[in-house]
Amino acid sequence: MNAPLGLFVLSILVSLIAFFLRNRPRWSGTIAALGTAGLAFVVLFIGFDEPFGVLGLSLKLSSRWVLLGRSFNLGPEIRPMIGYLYLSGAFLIAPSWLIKAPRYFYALGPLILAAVAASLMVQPFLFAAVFIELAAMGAVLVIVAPGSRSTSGGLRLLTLYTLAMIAILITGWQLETGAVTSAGQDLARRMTMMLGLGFGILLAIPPFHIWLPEAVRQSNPYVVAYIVVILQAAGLLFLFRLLDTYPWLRDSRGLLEAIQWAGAAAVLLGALWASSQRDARLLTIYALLADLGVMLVAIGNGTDAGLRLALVMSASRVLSLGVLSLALTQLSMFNSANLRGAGYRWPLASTTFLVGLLSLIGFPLTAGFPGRWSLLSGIGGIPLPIAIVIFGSMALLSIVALRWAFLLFSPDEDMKTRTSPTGERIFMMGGLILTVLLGIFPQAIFPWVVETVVGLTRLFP
Amino acid sequence: MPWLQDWIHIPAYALGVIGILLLLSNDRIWLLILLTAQYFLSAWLMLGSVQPVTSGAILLAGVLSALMLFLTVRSVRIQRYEPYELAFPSNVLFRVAVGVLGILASIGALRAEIVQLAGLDSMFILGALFALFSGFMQLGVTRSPLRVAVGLLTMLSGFSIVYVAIEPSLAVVALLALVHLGIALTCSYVLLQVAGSSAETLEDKA
Repeated sequence: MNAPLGLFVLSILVSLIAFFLRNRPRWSGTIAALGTAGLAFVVLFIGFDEPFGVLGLSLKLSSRWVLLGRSFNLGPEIRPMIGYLYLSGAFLIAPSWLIKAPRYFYALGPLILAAVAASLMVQPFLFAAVFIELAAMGAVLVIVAPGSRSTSGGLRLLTLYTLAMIAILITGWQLETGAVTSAGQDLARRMTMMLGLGFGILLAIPPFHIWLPEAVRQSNPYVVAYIVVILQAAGLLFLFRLLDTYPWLRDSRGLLEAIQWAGAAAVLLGALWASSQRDARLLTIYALLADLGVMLVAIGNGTDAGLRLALVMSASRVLSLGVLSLALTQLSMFNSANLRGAGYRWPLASTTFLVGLLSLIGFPLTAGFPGRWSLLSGIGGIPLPIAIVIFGSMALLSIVALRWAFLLFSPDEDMKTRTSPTGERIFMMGGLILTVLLGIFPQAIFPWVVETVVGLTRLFP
Repeated sequence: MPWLQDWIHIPAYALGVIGILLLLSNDRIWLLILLTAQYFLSAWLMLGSVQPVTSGAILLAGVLSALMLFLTVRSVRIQRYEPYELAFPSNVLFRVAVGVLGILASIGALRAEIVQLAGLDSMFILGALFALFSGFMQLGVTRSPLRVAVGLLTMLSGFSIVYVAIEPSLAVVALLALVHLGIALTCSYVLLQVAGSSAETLEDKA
């Protein structure tokens, strides 16, 4: 028996159980969340390639699985990344039964995680693009809910990820054959641009974010948040592995500057678009875009510290976006385009929405703040104009959040308070407390998140 | 079958013609017939650089994908003619112009340094580029699920022709076949949901 095959089989098993229980969302969601959390535990804590005991039996799991001449490797350098992904997935799947997610979500959620895990395990690692494409296909099946009248969000996602796969595979072939070895050559420049196209799509950099606004309009915001978090994490970890493998890429000043400026553009555009939205779902998506832009600025810094900050921001996004979209989905059931007075009717959901939004913006005392503060205070070492753009966008988005707070708590005809069900209250209160606690005590979790990439020894010496 | 390889220019040029026909056709069934023909021509083209079994595997995945889409179209009882639903002009002349642009782009791309690096026969590359650009063009002028599926599969087919030649491993063939089938399956699901929603709307109106 080997660990990669075991991980796939167990993920499929969790998915199958969740599928058979699809008409009982609470059970289906709980099984999917517990199953993925359990798999994270196995990946992180069970020793592979050495005997261990279970119920008196001595077992040994090999960390390598060879299939059709290619191998899947669940070695010590990959395990923390996969554990982190599965934990992020479990964290987001756990409350999903509260928000009336599409009933196939619980079955497809673990499968999407398995595809992303395969993208991290496969050798040569450039084939990861194919597995991320498979994960994107699963994402489309989740986004296009039964009975959808409009499907452009899902179809755009599929089209863009197929293009990304093609761009990355072609570039990968060039890199592997050694035709491209230095960023100074003309061909290398073109190949880097192609690689940029592929990763631009995977990280949803404008204009490749076009599937997001459509998807969030056509589907459940919480489900879209899950997809964004998992696919974006897959793209980020893939990028880290690429930078780890090809030193000339991480030494290419031009490439890193381009990433920083693309990030700055995403921050600026995201903030401006968010400020002009009247629909809370689109506001969330554009605030997310600005947040992704800040992460790119950190990556473009090219230093060890900058890359670690990018990872911290990615982790804080799991919490911010999870909390925000949970509350948003509750409010969207009411009417996302007109939330006037919703703060009186649904006080907890409205407060959670605002705190999640503030965290996504990077407001002080929220989980999103420590990463941005570190970046702006000089750890990342970013150029002044980009720092001004980030700071300006934070200020603008804070004003936008304040405007939404006024809107939510404006008097309206119907101001009768409704009580949320106990499950919703528990998850939303938990999310709120965690968001604030991580804003005050970032050391509680973030150092562990940074440790997930210690296996990439050339990138993080 | 060496004689098939001697006539490799036939599938190469035919892929260009099929690309234009795919853009012109409004009939869902003909779209899928053309897609299937395109897979056969791609497989013929691949014979020039890979083992017949490799070419056959991609052909099988392609034919199964087209069949999956065909069965979906048949089962959902939607109208046979596929309308273009875009702000672009969608008349025949416009689509012919788009097709010709695709062919010119393919011929232009043939001279690119990256294409020449592959060290493959120019006729072989030209056929692949025709399919690739034809897919791009289809994706650019539509957003209907069936056309997107056909566009993606056409583009992927063009890519597969070249990629299987430069990375001729069993794993690559299997993964590409999986992607072809996955795209067909995903788009079939989307088609079913859209058709279900349309049927509900009609029932509501009735």
